[in-house]
Amino acid sequence: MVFSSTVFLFFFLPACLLLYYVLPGKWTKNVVLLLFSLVFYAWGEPIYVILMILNILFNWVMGLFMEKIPGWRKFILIVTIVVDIGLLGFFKYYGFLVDVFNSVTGLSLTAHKLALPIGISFYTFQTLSYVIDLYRGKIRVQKNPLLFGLFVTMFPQLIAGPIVRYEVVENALTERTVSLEGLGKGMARFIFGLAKKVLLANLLGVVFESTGVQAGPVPVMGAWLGLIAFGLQLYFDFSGYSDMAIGLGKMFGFDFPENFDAPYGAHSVTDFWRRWHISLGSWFREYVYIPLGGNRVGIVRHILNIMIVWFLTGFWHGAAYNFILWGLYYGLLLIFEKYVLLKWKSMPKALGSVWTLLAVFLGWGLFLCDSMQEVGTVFMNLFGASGSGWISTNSVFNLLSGIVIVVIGALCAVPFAKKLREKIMTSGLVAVIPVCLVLLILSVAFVVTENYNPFLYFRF
Amino acid sequence: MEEKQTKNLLPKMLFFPGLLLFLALFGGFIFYCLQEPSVKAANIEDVENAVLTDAFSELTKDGTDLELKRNFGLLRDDYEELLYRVPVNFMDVEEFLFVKVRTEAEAETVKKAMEERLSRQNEMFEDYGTDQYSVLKNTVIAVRFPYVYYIAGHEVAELHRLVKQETEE
Repeated sequence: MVFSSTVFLFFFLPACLLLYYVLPGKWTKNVVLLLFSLVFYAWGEPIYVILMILNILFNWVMGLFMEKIPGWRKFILIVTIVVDIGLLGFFKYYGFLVDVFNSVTGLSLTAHKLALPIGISFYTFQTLSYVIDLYRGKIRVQKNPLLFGLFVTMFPQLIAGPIVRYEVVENALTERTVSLEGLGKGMARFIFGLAKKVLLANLLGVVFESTGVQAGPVPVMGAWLGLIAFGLQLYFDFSGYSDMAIGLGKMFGFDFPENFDAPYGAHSVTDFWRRWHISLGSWFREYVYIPLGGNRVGIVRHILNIMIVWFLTGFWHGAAYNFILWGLYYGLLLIFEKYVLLKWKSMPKALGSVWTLLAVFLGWGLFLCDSMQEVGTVFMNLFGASGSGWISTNSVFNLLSGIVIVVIGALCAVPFAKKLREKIMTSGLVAVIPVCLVLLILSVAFVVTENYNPFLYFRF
Repeated sequence: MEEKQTKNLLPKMLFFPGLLLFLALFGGFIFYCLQEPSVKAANIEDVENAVLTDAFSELTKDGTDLELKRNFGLLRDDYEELLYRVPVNFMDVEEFLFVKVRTEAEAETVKKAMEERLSRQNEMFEDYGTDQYSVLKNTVIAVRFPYVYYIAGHEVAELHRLVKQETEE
């Protein structure tokens, strides 16, 4: 089920909120939230709810063993990590690894096509954070399986993040304030997110699709239009989803971490990654980069650490060569900035912004593809090597029909737009209610009438 | 003292059986996921009724023997049963071919013909038919002996689900 569907907006969410607010007691509210979360997850592919429940029970039991057998803590941690990563690896990378094996050995093993269990990358990272933090003594063991299950399955953040670490919600699972004020604030945040998704991301998606930048030869102008539209679509799609998740969390009394901070306003690629998918970046920093030694090592080891983290970041996004390449591309960019570019202290901010946008959008050229063949097509198109020239009637038509939404998207992606939203949210009901009402009416009108409604990050 | 020792021993005694139990459950689940569902005898008319949703029946029409030969290089009489739908508009890529074969060799021949058809369609739309090209990326070619099928179109996921419903246990 997706947040921007009629089923969710008109049936699932109202029913869940009604029961959650009407039924008394924390325990009852937790049960309601857990049951609705399981239904939410099972909506598309019911079979995988079994895998998720098994995964929850496994991590919960391993947590208990870790507490009961202190001498075995490290061994239990390793076993749990191996099983969790093994499951993620199997369900997400099995087909890809068989392909790699076949291409290396010349064999032709066939991989049974498995549907990707939705959200597995997100919930695996959440359960891993629990067992690792438990091992490190940062959190207390959760003895109640219902509360642990709720931490993992909570539907607002279950299938596309933000990746919520256990320590963030540990107290809220038992002690949280559920109030009408929180409900109102959460609704406002949800509506802003919905509008980002439906009014901006979906329309930008239509512009991107119309250019066909990865499908075949396209003139340079059409290719850049497609790339820019995709970069904006991805931002509004994912940050809109995160806004909706954070808003839903507030409605139920939870404070989820922010996942975006106007990333296209960054002055360096390093800065960009502090503002884009913040929960994933901080997860890798906390559980991979720092344990590897972080930057408190020699230069060669530091470079290796960065490349390992970015290889994993790319691979986390998808089982394909282009995602690995995308991750390594960022590893190299960050090393370049760390050791060369950012040593130039007096670099003007405007120049930094141009460099960042160029680097990031070229990176989306790798990200938007499904295969290395498409990567080749995209970059040939972007740099005029496809033989389609600079401009064509079709690309002018695409530009004229898409330019308005691209410009609106660009304006809404700058830091000022974020500040404006925050100002509206804090300026009292007189401002919040009319703005939210207009956005809600427009969004619902689009949800009801439009067919194009994918969530790009669901495939991760 | 003794009670405390027993208390400490119990988790250690339970750990490995517990771990094995979980591994067995995960293994069983993976084994289940990897199982091909068994094929049931399908009535070709039921398959036709199932896939002819409002949208698909509007976009496609019955394919002739000539079209089958031209597009796939196959002859209808060579196969036990066959259902073929072609797009009404020649610029569309909506297409459905469902063949019941007698032998594994026939299945292989039909599958190869379908792959070649898809490859030609991709080449044809690659340069100018952006929408068609992206739709073709999701084309399903599957062998579920004795059935072999080719499904292309905007509703491919739904059509595939319907075909599986008719052909799998």
